[in-house]
Amino acid sequence: MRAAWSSRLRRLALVARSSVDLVVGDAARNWARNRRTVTPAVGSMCVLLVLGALSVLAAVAVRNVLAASAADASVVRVYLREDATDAQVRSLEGRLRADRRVGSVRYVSPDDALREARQRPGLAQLISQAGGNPFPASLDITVRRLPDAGAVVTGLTGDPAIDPAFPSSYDAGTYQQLQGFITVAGAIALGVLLVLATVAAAVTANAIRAAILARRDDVAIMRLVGASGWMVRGPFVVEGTLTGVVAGVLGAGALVGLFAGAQAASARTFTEVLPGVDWPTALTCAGLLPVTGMLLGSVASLAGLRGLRG
Amino acid sequence: MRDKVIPIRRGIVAPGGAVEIAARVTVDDAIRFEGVSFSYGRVPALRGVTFSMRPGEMAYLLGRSASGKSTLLHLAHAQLRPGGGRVVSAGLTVGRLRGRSLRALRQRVGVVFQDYRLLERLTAVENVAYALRVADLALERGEAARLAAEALREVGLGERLNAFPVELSGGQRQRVAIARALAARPSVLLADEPTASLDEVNGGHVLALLERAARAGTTVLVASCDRELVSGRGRRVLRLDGGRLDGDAMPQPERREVAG
Repeated sequence: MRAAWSSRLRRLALVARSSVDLVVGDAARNWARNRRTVTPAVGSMCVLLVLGALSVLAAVAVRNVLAASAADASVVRVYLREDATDAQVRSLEGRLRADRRVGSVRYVSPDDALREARQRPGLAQLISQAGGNPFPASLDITVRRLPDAGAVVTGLTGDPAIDPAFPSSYDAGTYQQLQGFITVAGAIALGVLLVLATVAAAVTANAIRAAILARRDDVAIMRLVGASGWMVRGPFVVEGTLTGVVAGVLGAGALVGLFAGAQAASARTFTEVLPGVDWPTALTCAGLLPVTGMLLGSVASLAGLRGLRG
Repeated sequence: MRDKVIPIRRGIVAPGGAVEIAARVTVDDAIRFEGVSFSYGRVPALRGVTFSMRPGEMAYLLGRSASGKSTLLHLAHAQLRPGGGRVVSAGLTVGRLRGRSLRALRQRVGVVFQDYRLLERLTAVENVAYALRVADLALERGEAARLAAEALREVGLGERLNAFPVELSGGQRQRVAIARALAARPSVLLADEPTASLDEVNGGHVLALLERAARAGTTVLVASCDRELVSGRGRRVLRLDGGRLDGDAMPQPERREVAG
């Protein structure tokens, strides 16, 4: 009984090993032999993967810039009346802290406001010409979400602590423009990425399908000698996967090279080519390229095999 | 004549193929066509063809171009399904075969084509070994290569084991195809114009190999349009004309002139 089981297990192991060899081993050997046939597929995939990765890095940079702008814009300065009492100011502060839309409230004295203004280019001279301190005391309110800024400021209308003539730094037009820009920039980035992903998938599928069609006779012969579906499709899928991995590795190398070049150019010209994109982000993106290539290659070869009958 | 059906019980491996199939297995005939018809669209290729071949028998299928020879072989190899009638090949009824049972038939029925149909990316020994490995997954790569080399030596290609098809002559390629077909020890071997693209000497070698396979017990059916090639071989000749079987001649005993 035990001997029979042992024999069955040995046969099963042999079948498994032989199956893997028949699919993976043969595919690897074929891939190495047919380097010239797969080169166009590797090349087009590599270029598209690098373009896709650069788009992702550009999107990260745009997001960083927008996030910084949004962070600046989400701080609204509410100006206090000169004759506002401490109790009125404390009451206003308490009211704001109780508001869930408000992240933080900071009291800015006239001296603090003057100090900050002097640090802004061009303002120092104007302030000295004005004589004295033209800045009133204020409260800096940071709203949690940029779209809530207008509602928070409107809600403060009529508060006895606030200057009725010039209540706040909030400018509805500027905020709406920024909101609109964020929405449009996000939609454009998403659209570009989707188009690139579609083009990458289509070009890769076509390149791999061309390679498969070139071996259409092979498929027919493999079926004629008794190969089953997985024996025929398996090697093509493995070859597609291998093509994707190689394209991904080459793309990762190219991306690292391009990023290093961009960093060097930034250092020379004191400009930021990709604001907020650092080496860890670039390396993560590069590391994901072989995985993306592998998925793209296997999916494209499966798509390329659809409808191909021997 | 009714089939003698051998039931294949679940869990029992059928002889000649590790498959369990719900198909009729006959012991009488290796190939049987019963009133078989086939059309390509509206163009009839075979009309009511009936014949059978015993295990180990060799026959030539003679006919002009477009007489239906290739169609008949394709039906016997389950590359086509009969439009009417019934085809039994290597004990399996072709019309019902799908999946595993279809592969079982392809493994029991070897086929040799006029255009060789070798995998150009593989060497001669790899071509033969590939067919062996898909037929039996428990066969190790090394063992398959050894058996393939043996099969190639048997057809006289021991010196060209690692040559790619493009490096071989037509006759050598055809011998690789025969080695590939015979290596898996098929019960039936179909050959479609195997000598059509070969010169007389190479054609003679190829037919000799096929006759040797028949002597070893394989049922061999060779399609040819070359009347001279077939005559005088002392084998059964099936004649196809316009898709109809219009002759089935058994070999005649040699006549001797008596002097005086």
